[in-house]
Amino acid sequence: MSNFIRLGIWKGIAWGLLGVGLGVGIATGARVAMGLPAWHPEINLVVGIVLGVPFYLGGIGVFRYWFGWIIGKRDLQDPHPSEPHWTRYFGYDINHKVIGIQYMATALTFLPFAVILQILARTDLAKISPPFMDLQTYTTLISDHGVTMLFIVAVPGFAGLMNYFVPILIGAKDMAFPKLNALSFWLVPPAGILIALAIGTGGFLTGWTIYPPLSAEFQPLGMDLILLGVYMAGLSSILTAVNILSTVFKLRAPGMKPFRMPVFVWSAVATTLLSVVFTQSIAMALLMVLLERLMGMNFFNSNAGGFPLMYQYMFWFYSHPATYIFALPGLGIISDVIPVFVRKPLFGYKGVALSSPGIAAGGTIVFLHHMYVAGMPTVFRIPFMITTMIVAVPTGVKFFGWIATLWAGKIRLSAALLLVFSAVIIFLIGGLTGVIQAVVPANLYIHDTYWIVAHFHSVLFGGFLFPFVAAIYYWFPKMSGRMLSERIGKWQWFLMTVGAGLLIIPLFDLGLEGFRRRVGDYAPVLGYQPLHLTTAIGGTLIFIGLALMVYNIFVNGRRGKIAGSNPWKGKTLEWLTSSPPPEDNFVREPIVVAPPFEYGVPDGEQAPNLLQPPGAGEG
Amino acid sequence: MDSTAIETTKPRNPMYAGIIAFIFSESFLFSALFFAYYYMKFDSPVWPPQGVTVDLTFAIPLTVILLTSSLVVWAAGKFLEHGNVVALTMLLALTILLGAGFMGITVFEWLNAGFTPASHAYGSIFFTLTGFHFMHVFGGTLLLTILTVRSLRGHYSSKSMTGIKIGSYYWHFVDVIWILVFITVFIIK
Repeated sequence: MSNFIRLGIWKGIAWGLLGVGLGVGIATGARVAMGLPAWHPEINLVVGIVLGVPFYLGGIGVFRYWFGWIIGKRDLQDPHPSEPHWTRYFGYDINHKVIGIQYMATALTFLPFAVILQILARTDLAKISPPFMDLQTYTTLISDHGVTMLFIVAVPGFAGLMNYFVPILIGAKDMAFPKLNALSFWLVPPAGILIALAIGTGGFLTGWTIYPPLSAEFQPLGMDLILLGVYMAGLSSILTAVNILSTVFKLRAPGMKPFRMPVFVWSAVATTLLSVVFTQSIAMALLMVLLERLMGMNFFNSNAGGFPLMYQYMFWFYSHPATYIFALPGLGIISDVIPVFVRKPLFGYKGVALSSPGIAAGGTIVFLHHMYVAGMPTVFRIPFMITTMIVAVPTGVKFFGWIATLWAGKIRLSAALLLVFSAVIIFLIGGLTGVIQAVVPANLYIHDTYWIVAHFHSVLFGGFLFPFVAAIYYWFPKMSGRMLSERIGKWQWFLMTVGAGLLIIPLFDLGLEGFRRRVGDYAPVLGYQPLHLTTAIGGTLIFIGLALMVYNIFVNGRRGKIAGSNPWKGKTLEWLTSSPPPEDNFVREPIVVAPPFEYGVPDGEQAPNLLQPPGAGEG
Repeated sequence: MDSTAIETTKPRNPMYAGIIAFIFSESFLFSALFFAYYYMKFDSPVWPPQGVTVDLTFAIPLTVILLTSSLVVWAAGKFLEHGNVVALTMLLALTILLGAGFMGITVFEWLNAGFTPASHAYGSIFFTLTGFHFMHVFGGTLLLTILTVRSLRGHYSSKSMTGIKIGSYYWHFVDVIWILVFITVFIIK
């Protein structure tokens, strides 16, 4: 019980609330001093939140070390590593494995929340009962679903996997900047809470794209909370990206040449390069909307010389590359999981590895395909159609690499591999439909219909959700030292795959029939209820599958079979250390001698004798 | 030695990679703002709007101040390479003064601009662009102040220069951004 009271997070919350109170007080005081009405809920509360976040971070203890550095304290010690105890996950801790699990737990907390929002909205849309929400609630729920999923589930979920596994896979003891890493993580939970609170504070009607003029003119506080929440999540992802890039460039173990890194690390580099470059653009665009709301600026206000369309350029400049931020780590996971369960080297390893930066580079110059009908100069249409189609080429390299790896392999159908198969097929659907909607005449018809929704849900299922779940089944034994139940895993695979099919296929159909997305009502006589109902059922099946996984983690995390250091007989570094890895990952420094997928090669491990402490077994 | 201890490895300093990645990222923050500026400039019939005069009265002194400060911070690093910590501290303090002067003149210029962020789109982008640069100068000055305090407490020598180098990289970055702001807002308009 005293452990519970001493969790670092309580201190953070207390200081955060104090900061909010202080900020609201200052804003109110300043407004009175300037002769304005004292209470303007949006402005006063936004100032409160802006002040509350650093207070909360300070309460957690994020700044303690840096404060010592600033005042030039001598014999400055790194924050003391916490006891290996569950309490360390609820407070300030700088070990990358702890932070990785904190990220994933945050993502898995907000995931069911966001799914439930959408199931509610879609059940209402299916019209099997009298409507139980008004249109404003409907739009708020689907918008909040999108924002939460992308910025609080997908990005932090992958950030967690990268945090945990990138340092281990390259043979490092920790990230390059462990204290910065803790700061990046602790920005995410308040961002998620702000985004969730938007539902109760007036909501927001813009969808996840937050286009002005609606986002600039829609008054309630919910809109401001969304802007602040996404801004904080973006800041966190920029700092994480700087950290991971520095780690991979500077902290690789001796012998870990670029072409000895697992594909997941290559994907992590490509992803973080995209974050570093493009997240700034959306952060700026959101900040401009916020300034327009709070300070009366006129970037997007055409009455005062502004341009609403400018937001779309800035937004898609980030958000198209962002779709690769959501998907590239997943493709890396697929590439790393297949060889382990097929017992063959990854076919065309160099090509598959290089295709990650290839997709990232290609994805930077396609963003205007989101704006064919937005009123941009039509001369951009054809060039961007062509660049969009070119992105399919490096993606195809990955697909053919995976298929050729399966060829004549000794396939063991574990839950992780089954999930990867589903991911590949669903991502293929997403990828091919992406090429179709890049074609200008097709896009003019299907733009803003459910076709688009179906497309990006395929891409996110295949690129994020299924690989993420597969990674949990694949790496959970490493993280906890215990095996998850394969039986539950296969049930989960079955439910999620069927659910994804039921969810996606009706949406494609609805889109081809011209049904617009974000429309909360229609005449029942049109006969769209069965399609909407099927989609809602598919979403529910996915939800049940995910619930099974949470059950699996809770039960078998404590009582599951002991995994041992290498349950899947992998060859990469993470399997050559104990499960879970020691505080500094390895008892001796890895000397890397082999590429990552030397299956069928005797002693093909990447680094020999890692489990023996130094001094033993030598000479 | 404890048998479970990690073998010692040669220290590798990721600080430079980190600051380069961070500056790279920051440069895209400013490119977003420059994009917004030029987008509005090329799509507006009159730019800057009627009644707005932007001239070089303040911009030239600001540029001179910031360029000088970049030179000073460079010289500070050079003195440190030769082990002259006293010169380092004094030159850092001089850089802080120049930064403070820059910020003071900028605020004065803002107060005499004749328009506000809410006046029109030009006002919005003018104040956001110069304001973001101002915030970076402020951040850089803060960083330099911290470095001065640490240098007074004897943290730097010709063998321990990482903090100073990183501070000066950041300051040079702020300087380069100012030159782009200067060319965009005051020369090209």
